[in-house]
Amino acid sequence: MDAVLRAVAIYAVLLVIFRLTGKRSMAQVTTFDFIILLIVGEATQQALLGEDFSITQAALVIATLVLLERLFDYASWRLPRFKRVAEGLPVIVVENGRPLQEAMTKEQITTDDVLSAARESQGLERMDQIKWAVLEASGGISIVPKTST
Amino acid sequence: MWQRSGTVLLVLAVVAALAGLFGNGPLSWTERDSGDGVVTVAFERVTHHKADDSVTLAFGPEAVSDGTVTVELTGTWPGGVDVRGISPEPTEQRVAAGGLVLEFAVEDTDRLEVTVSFRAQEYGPLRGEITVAGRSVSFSQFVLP
Repeated sequence: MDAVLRAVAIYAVLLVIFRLTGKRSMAQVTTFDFIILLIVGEATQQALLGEDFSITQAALVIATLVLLERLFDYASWRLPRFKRVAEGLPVIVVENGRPLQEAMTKEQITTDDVLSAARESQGLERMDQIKWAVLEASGGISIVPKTST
Repeated sequence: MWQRSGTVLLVLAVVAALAGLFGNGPLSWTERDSGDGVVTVAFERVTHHKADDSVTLAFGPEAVSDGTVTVELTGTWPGGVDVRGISPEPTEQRVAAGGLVLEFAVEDTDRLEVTVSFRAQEYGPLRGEITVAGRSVSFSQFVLP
C-alpha cells in the first residue's frame, strides 16, 4: 500500500513544482540542468522506495506512476480545463515578425531564444521572416515561417 | 484493445496494492492468538524480500513465570529472516533446536508487547510457531521478490 501512496505523493509534488516553475524550466536541458535532474531522481528514489528495494515495491511504484500518467492524459483529453491547469496552454510570443513583449516577459523568453529556435527548426535569419512563434505547453518554441509569395 | 486491457490490469494491480494484496495494507495485516489470550502475534501476511518489516508479539499475564517470559520461536521463519532488532531487548537470547529462545524480564506489568524487526532473506512461504508457557500460536508469511 505505501508504494502506491508514496508514488502518488511524489507525482503530485513533482507536478506542482514543475508546473509552478513554468514551461521553460526543463525545455532546454543544459549540462547543469542534467545534473539537477539526476539529483532530483536520486532524492525522489529514496522517497519512493524507502528502505524497500524489492522488485515488488519497484513494480508497484512504476505501475502507479504509469497509471497516473495515463489518468492525466485521459483527463486532459476529456476535460480541456483540466489540461489547461495541469499542462498549461501554448502562448504566442511573435506575431507577423513582431515580438509580443508582454507575453515574452511573462514567460521569460528573449528574442534571442525565438531566433535560436527559428534558426534551428526553420533555418530563418531574421524576426521578420517569422509568421508565428509559439511557446508550446511542452516548453519548446515552435516557429511558423512567413510564406514567400 | 491492448492499451485498454493494459490500463485495466494496471488499475487492478494498483487497487490490489492499496488493499494490501502485495503486502502492507488492510488485507495483509492480521492477528493470531492462542485462544486464551496468552500469546498474540500481529503480522503482515505478505512481505517483501530484504525489506524492513516487523511482527508484534503480545503476552498476557499467564505467560509470566517468576518474573520472566520465555518465548520459543520455531519453524522456517526464524531461519528465513534476518532479525534486525527486538524491542524491548530480551535479557537472554539463545539458539535452540529449530529456532530461537528469547527471555524477557517482566516487572510490575501484566502484559508484555515485543516487536521483532526483520528482513526476509528467503522467497515464498515462511512458517513460524511461537510457544510461551505451554501455549503456542502459529503464523505464516509469504515473501515476494
